[in-house]
Order: sequence, then C-alpha cells, then structure tokens
Amino acid sequence: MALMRFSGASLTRRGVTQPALSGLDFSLAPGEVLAVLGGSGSGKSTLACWMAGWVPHALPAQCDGTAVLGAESLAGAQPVAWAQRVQLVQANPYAALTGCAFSVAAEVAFGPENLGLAEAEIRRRVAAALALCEADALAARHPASLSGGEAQRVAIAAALAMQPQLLLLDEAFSRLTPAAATSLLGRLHDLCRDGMALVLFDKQFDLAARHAGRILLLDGGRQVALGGAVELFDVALTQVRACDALRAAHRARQAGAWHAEVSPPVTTATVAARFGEVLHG
Amino acid sequence: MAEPVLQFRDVAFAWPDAAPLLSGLNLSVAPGECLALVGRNGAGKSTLFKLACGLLKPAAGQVTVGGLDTAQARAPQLARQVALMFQEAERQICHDQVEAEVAFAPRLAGLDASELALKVARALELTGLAGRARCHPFDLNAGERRLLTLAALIAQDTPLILLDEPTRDFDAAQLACFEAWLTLARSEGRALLFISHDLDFIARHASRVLHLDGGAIVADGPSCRVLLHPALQAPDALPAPTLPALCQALGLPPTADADAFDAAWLARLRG
Amino acid sequence: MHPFTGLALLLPLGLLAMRIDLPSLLAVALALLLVALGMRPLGGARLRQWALVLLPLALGLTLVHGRYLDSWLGQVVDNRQAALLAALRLWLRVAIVLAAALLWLSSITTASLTRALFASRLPPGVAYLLASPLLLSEQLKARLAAVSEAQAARGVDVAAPFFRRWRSLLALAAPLVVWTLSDVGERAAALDARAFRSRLRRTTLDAPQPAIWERWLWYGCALLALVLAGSLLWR
Repeated sequence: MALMRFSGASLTRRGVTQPALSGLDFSLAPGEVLAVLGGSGSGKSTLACWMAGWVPHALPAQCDGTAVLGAESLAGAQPVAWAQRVQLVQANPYAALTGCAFSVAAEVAFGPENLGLAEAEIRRRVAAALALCEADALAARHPASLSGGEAQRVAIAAALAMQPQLLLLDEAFSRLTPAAATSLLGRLHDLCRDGMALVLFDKQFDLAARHAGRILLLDGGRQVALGGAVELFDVALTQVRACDALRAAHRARQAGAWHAEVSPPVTTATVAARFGEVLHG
Repeated sequence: MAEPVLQFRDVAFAWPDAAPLLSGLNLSVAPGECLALVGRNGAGKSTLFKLACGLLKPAAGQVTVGGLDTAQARAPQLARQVALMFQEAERQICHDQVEAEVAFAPRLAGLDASELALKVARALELTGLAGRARCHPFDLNAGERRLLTLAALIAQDTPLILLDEPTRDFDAAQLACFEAWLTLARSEGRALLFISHDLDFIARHASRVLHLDGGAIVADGPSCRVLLHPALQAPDALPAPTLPALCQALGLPPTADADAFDAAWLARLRG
Repeated sequence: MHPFTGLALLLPLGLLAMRIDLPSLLAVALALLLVALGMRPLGGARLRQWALVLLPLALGLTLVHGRYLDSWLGQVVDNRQAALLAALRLWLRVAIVLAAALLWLSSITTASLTRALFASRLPPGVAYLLASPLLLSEQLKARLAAVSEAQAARGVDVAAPFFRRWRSLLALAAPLVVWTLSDVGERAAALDARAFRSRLRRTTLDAPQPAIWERWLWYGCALLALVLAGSLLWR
C-alpha cells in the first residue's frame, strides 16, 4: 500500500486565484526514493510543505483533489500531529533551530524529548542521528554558532532523531561539499532499506538522479513529467541544473551528435562510458 | 606588479572560547583576479571573507583592502573598496523594497539623485529584476532574492567583490544571468573572490583556487590542480570539474568551456 | 544550585520588604544585596543596570511625592517630610526586589532555567511561555548583531555616535519588525515540526536536579511567603 498518494491534486494559496500547484498525480511507497526537480518558483518548496502536513494550518491554502498520507487526508490534522511520521528539512537550516536548545545535542534531542520517550532511547537516537550526519564533533557547540554546512547536518540529524516514515529534504544539502553530500545521501539511502521513504527536492539533476528511483518534474507549479532518470533526462535538463559533463551529453543529444541506441548518462560515473559507446558504436 | 586589492599578512583569528580557526594566513589578491575559495564545512571560509571586508578584525597580523588597514579604517571607507554577498541572502537585506535595498550603499556613499537612479536602474537591469523594483524582498523566490543581493553589490560599485556561495539558490536561467555578470565584472577589472562547492562553476571562472584547511591555505593554484584534492571530490564519481575529466577520458584536449568541448566532440565524432 | 532555589527565596524576600517599615533596616538589606551583586561575575554591569532603573525612579518619586512641582507653581505644601519618608520606603522596597532579582539572574543561565522549566511539572506550553522572554532576548540580540553587520558591510559607521546614524537606524525599524515577525513564524513551525506540545508530559534530558535541602528550602520559602502574605493582609 502506498505511503502517500496525490491524485488530481492542486493547491491555491489564500488570497490568490492562480493555483500554486496543480495536476499532481503520484504515489510514494515505503522505502522509495523520489526526486522532485524544478527551477526557482516551480513550486517545490510549497509541495514540500504540503507533504509535511503544514497545509492549511501553517500555510493557509485551499486544496483540491486527493492528498493522503496512509489513509488520512493531509489537511486533516495539525502539523504537530504529523511530526512523528513526516519530517521536512528546509533549505535554510537555521529555520530548523528551535531556539530552546543550547547545544547541538540538546537541539537534536528536543524532538524525541517532546515525544516523551525514555531517556536511554533518546540518547541512543541522538547518538545515531549525529553519527549518521557526521555531526558528532559538533555535539557540544551552541546551535547559533554553526556555519551553514554544519547547521545543515544538524537539521538533518534533528529530523532523523524523530524516526519518521517519510523524510523530505528540500535542498537540504546545498551548503555541504559534494563529498559530504554524496556520502550523507548514501547513508540516508541505506535507511530506506528499513522502510523510510525519502523525497529529494532539488534544482540540480545529479545527486537526485543518482539515488532516486523516480523523478517528478515540476514547472510553474505543474507536474510535467514523472518517470525514471533515463527517461526524463532530455526534458529535465532543459529545466534544471546539472554538472558540465551531463550538460555536454544533453547538448550532444539535442544537436544530434549522439546515437539513438545509446541511452543518456544520468550520473557522472557513467558519462564517460556513454560518450565512449557513441564513439565506438 | 600592481598594488594588491586585498592582502592578509600572518593573520590569525579565533572565536571566543574556541580553538584558533585561522592562523598564520598569508594571501595577496591582484586587481582583475578571480579567486575561488574551497574547503570542508566549518573550515573558516566565511570567516576569512568577514575578515577581508573588515566586519571582523584579526586577532593577530594585518588585513589591508585597497591600502586600508581594516583594523583602523571606518566602515564607510571600507564599503567603497569591498562589497560582500553574505551566505544567507535574508541576513543581508535591510530594506522593505527591492529598489531601496539596491540604493542603500550608493545613497550612503552620498551619490546625487540622478547618478543614484542610473546606478540602481543598471543594477536591476543586469540582474533581470527591473520588473520587480517595487516588490518586497520577502516576496521574491530564493534565486531572485540572491540576485537582489547581487544588484546591491553592483550598485555599491567596488573594486573588490566577495561572494559567499553565490550560485546556490540559482536555477539554470538565473545562473546564466549571474555568469554573464561575472564575465562583465571581470572585464571591468574588478577583483572577485568567491566561496563555492560547485567545482564545475569554479573551473569555468576562477583564475586561481585556494584550498583552506586546518586554519591555513594548503593549496593555491589553477583549478585543474587544486580541485583534484581527494577531500574535495565526491567518491566514486567522475572527478570534478567534470568537463575536463570527460575530455581526458575521451582523449580530447582538456577544457572547461562548453563551446570548446562541443566543437571538439563534433570533430571527433565526424572525423 | 537549582535555578528555582533563588526564585524561591525571592518571593518571601519581597514580601518581607513589604512588611518592614523601618527605612534604616530596609537600607541595610539593600546595601547587603548590592554588595553581593557587585561581587558576582559581571557585577559591575549588573549594578549599572540596577542604577539605570533606580536612580531615575528616585528622582521621579522625590519630585512627585515631595510635591515640588506643586510648590513651584505657588501652592502651599505641608507634610512634605512624611510624604518623602513614604516615597523613600517605596523606593527602597522596589530597589530591594530588583537587586534580589538581578542577584538571582546572575546565579543562573538561560540554558539552565529553560531546562529546569521544561523539566518542571508545568505543561510544556506554559514552561515555554515562562522561558520565552529569555529566549526571545537571545534571539533579538542575534538579530540586532546581524542587522548591524549587514549595515556595516554597506558603509554604515556602526562605531559612530548614535545621533550620526539615527537615520539608518530609523530606516531599519520596519524591516526589523518584519524580520522578527517572520522569525516568530519560523520558530513556531520549527517547534511544531518537532512535536512540541504533542504530549502533556515530555522527557527532559540532564534536567537540573534539586538537592534534598533545596526541596525543603522551597517548601519553607512557600510557607514563609504564605505567613508573610497573611500578616500583610491582617495588618
């Protein structure tokens, strides 16, 4: 059974007539990794908030169509009621800081503390989340003193400590080095084997394509495509950013300097091999 | 050699109650240079930028910008020499209208009304924000807000510009707009320093790359050499910058320029 | 020491100051408190805070209760001595309570008080409400630092005297309000996202634990406060 399902769903912010999101049709299974790609203003962050259960209480808007988590409508409960099941990490990591904690360890523990868990369980979760995000060394630091990249690690750790069924990462790696982002996403991917679903919102193709089973492409608030990375390569790269090697492959395909039977490269690990296949048939 | 626009001499810095973040740092930037600063998270890159524009004072050593010692110079003098794009666009914006935000620095510098209007109009034109002059900065999307901070820097009109992760919030179209400005600013002879994690972007634009680690500059040189350090590379992927690496894998002449690659690829395919 | 212990002492002390009428006794108590406050870390700064409130208050009370304004306007004032004595008593009481409160604040940190409140039997929402003035002041401090940094980068001379940069400060007032409001919204969302107030009881790690004697002291203070309040009412 699907963990989350959107069907003919649209969202119109209060006070405007033009919908911010429309034509949403997709479902998400437990353990699945989905990438939502689109440019600035494509509606990614609005969709992320919607999926986190912030509509209509924290984000006043009118929703139409079906948008459910499990069997419940997403608009049905207060955001606080979803917190145990869905966690959203936003692009601005400082937005995740509660201001009630005076060390990183206390910040990460804050969520589990609110759930009233036993002390030993909280300590175990905090240690595991900090280790997974390679933030152990930051445990004693004051949250307000963190650099952007450090704060992003802590924000992700704080979300993980809630052990959600669904983790939404809205450009949550943007301040990390490529090396750090890749290895962190690899470890998060491992958690999906235990059933956690992961949605990556991004305007860059590379990382998402590498980990996501399916890609949902947004443009101007509309769902324009849903499918695998290979299938969506040509259309996606006209809308979102990608590294130079993938862009080169895209231009070659557009200019006809490619063979029809060679599939597009979707990660940098395969790009040289694909170009080679074009050359050597 | 021309007088450096920015110079660090044996600079040290530490936050209160913390181990030293930077120590014995030496750096000299000539006019017209385009420098990229790379390093792991928390290495002190943003702190180095704040030292470079005088927002922080060094604990030891000396920082000079356009000949001014930042420890002695006042903010109005420094703001004519160096402009900084903050890491968080939201923490930089001081006014509740796009136009007023862009006019902030030149107005403080005492420009007359006609000159001011001209400068603001040009900055908005270059950043594609001309149609949003009367908007509230919080009503812009993340990419546009970043372009707004860029417009404010353009209007500040300084010989040295510091950009802290400038490309992060841009989508493809906004990035193209930004890169066009970058090329223009270099042709005007401005010195540019930027922090970025996008190694392809660095390879396209930086004439020199500095790798900051353990409080000191551990590598200083052309991007093709400095960026290959394993600490900067994602594991099991094509080494970045990806276009020169692809060239190498295909036996093409190495380049970070898209047009040059396309021409070489087409020649290879046809020939 | 548990953060609540100082607070527990504060209540009967305040009531006792209300109960004592002898100005000399009140003055001795105040002097002791001020000496203790001055000996704390950052004591000088705290004494300045105290003086900043109490000296203008002294001036105001003297002018109003001494009815000097009236006599300047040509009215005849009698019983000035008695009125001034009452004003002195009032001033001493306020001064004692403020000095004691500052002394208590010097013995705690925002962090320890917040944790103690969260670990108390109060519902989490009420605990947050009580801690919020301290939390908010930390946040405002950070915001103001960010604002002056953003201004300095554009050429506002933040080291200049106030009267020379009042225009740029004025221009910032409105955006600062917008920023702070958006901060409040952001903070509320962050608390919701971490299931704050989703349950009546929350766990608190490393909560400050009161010693046995401290618990007895709290109960003793509560009893004393009750007795003092009663004696004030019965008088």
